Amino acid sequence: MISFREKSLWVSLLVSAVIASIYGDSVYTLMFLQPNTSLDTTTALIMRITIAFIILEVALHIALAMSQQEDANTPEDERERYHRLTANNAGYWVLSVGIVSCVIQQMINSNIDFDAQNSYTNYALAPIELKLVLIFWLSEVTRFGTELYYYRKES
Amino acid sequence: MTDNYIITNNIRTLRFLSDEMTQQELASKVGVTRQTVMAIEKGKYSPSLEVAFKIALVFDKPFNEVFQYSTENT
Repeated sequence: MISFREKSLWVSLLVSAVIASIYGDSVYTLMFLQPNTSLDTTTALIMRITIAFIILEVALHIALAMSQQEDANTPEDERERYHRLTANNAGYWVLSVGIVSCVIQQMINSNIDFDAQNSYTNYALAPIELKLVLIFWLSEVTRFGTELYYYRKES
Repeated sequence: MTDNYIITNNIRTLRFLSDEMTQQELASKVGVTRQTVMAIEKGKYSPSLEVAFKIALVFDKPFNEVFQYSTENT
């Protein structure tokens, strides 16, 4: 039987992956159907996605903890801590590389005057907050995925 | 030919000899989860020295009777 912590990771991974794909799809639609997106639209999208993530995570974790009350109260041991730290490291790399890439792209954008509107320029000129949120979700998915990989490897 | 050192253990046998102690009982005595005991038993996770000594203390055995560091010729 898998532990509460592993089940909790599966829940977080699935929720993050679903939210990341919905978010990615919404950003894609915004960039191609409404390229001149206002700040209000992007802020509303980020807020909706964040609230949906929090509600899903809290609700599913409450349900999971209620079904496995004893296991849920067990403190984290050294093996679980080791896996968490290793996974945090992997997620951190995705986050760092993503943020540096975003900053470089912003620098390129400010030095190049895009006169054509195509799929590349739509993405390149997308608001930085949209890209940063996408990178954050990707780093979260990487973090949960890596931790689960180590759990599965040892089972 | 190289010598690969691997950590092996007799936890499964020692549990059996200790009135068929369950993995959960051992985990509670050592302060880790049952999944960690299972991973150690299978040799898929090498515990810290502290946990390894605690396991030896639970069985009241010298450390080297519980864990061995042996070579595997490849």
